[in-house]
Amino acid sequence: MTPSLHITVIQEREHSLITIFKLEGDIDAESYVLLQDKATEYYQTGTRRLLLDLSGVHFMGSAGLRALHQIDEMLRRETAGEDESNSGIVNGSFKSPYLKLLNPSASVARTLKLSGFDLIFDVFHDQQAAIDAF
Amino acid sequence: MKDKRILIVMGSYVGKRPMYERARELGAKLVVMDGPGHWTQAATAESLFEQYIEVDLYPSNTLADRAYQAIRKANLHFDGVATFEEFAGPLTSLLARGLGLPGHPFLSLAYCRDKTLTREVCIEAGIPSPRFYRIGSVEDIEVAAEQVGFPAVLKPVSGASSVATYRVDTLAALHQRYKQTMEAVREHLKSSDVHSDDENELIWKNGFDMILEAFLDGEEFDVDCLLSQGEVVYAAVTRDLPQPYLREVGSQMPPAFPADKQDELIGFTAQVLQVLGFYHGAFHVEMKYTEQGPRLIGVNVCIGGPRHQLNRLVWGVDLVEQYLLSCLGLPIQPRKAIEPQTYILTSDLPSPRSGVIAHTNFLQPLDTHPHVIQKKVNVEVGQFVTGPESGVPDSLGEVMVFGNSVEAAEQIMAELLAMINLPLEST
Repeated sequence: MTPSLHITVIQEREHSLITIFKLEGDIDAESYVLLQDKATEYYQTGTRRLLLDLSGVHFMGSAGLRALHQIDEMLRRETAGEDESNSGIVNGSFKSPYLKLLNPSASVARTLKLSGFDLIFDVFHDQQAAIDAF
Repeated sequence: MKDKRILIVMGSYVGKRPMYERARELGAKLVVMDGPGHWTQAATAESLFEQYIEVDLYPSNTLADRAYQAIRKANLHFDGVATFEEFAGPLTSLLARGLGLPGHPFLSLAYCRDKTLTREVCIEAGIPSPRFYRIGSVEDIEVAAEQVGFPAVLKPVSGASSVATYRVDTLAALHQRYKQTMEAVREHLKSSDVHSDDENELIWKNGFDMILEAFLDGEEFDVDCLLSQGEVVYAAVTRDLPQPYLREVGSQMPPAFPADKQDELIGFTAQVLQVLGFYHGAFHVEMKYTEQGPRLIGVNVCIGGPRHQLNRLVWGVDLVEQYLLSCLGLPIQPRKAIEPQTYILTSDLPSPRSGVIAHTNFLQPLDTHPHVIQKKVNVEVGQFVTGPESGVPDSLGEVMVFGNSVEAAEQIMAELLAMINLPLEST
């Protein structure tokens, strides 16, 4: 079965460590691995800040949340110090400085809120503001 | 536990007070964090809590950071972090991690805050589940009905206490219930000063999504479960009495239900908790026993209101003590009685018809009955209550009794209910 998720990668040239994934489709039990694998691929080539453009995502369920969580933990592992890694707090905040979200649809935004994921990920509605926030 | 200081994240509703009183009896020092005006603030003045940390629960997306800052500002050393409020799960997990203390995995709690996520995780792991569909707007209703079929149950994706939970048997009924629910909930939401006793706020503030699930035949059961280091160290089954209105109308502990099927329910509970990623703590899992075996209704990652008392009286296990020990990072080894120490029956008192409450003395005949454990009036004089002819009847009160067998408890309850005079004005 063809996975329902397509990922377009944009490297932010002015900030070479920031990579943008433009996602289109569904992040479900079949496609979440694609997202995780793509994030791992770019992590291994130097990406340490990731912005996920969710404007094209129709559905994100438990597997999508799992992917976000795993990707954030991966980005933290090397970049965060031991204290930050253990506590989950960077500069006094639980919000991840490594992974940010852009333009989720209304239904995806509600999933993020209800699950508590809005406690740990900043959500932006302007790409430049998201990039500047890293 | 003596002199251990435990941070309580969101104090929940006042019915949880006996749990805090028990924690104090055990010697714990409790510091509670909740929104402005919560009942625990006044209880702190009475010394039930050592300190009250006030943090408005909204806006929700900044709550974790604001809560952490307020806790650091209090400049106290904590030995554990706990909650008796089911909506506080993800926040509690973050604060525990931030303070370097034991806690549940954040992802596991996230799964439990949204029923569609719980269902997805179970299905991925091969746990049989009913058909379901998420309804984000009225545009989703027709597809939901097509995918799920009827009869079905409509409820909030992030609900509690069976609030806004309805059985629907037709598409027209689904449309009507959805419309009624949306009209009712959108009116009354607050924009600030939210605390954890504002149940309506907690259920609906982050969105009005509902879930439509295929109706499950069979009786409903609850399993109270303690995990320690990934293993079930205690479990007890309660049978929920038949519910024509999809709201609990009573419970029976221990249940009149075959032991081998109770073991099935417990095994199912353990499987669900493992799949969700939990390995320690206290849980209250709701399910039905269908012709195909156990089927999950929902997972509550906290101790429910009367559960502490029920488990202690019947099985001699103090859920509050065991849960708090797990929050302190200590292994727990509860000793469950070999035989039930008593047989308990609780009964809700649904209003038999719509009307105005004429008096609140209707439970007085039960005052001196030796087998009444507790009784509670839920209405006030002059209050209008709805009866079954208008939908889900309002609860007039609750009674809890004990006997030396299931049959004895049932007989006692029947006798007591016959003594109650209806408190409704004559029509």
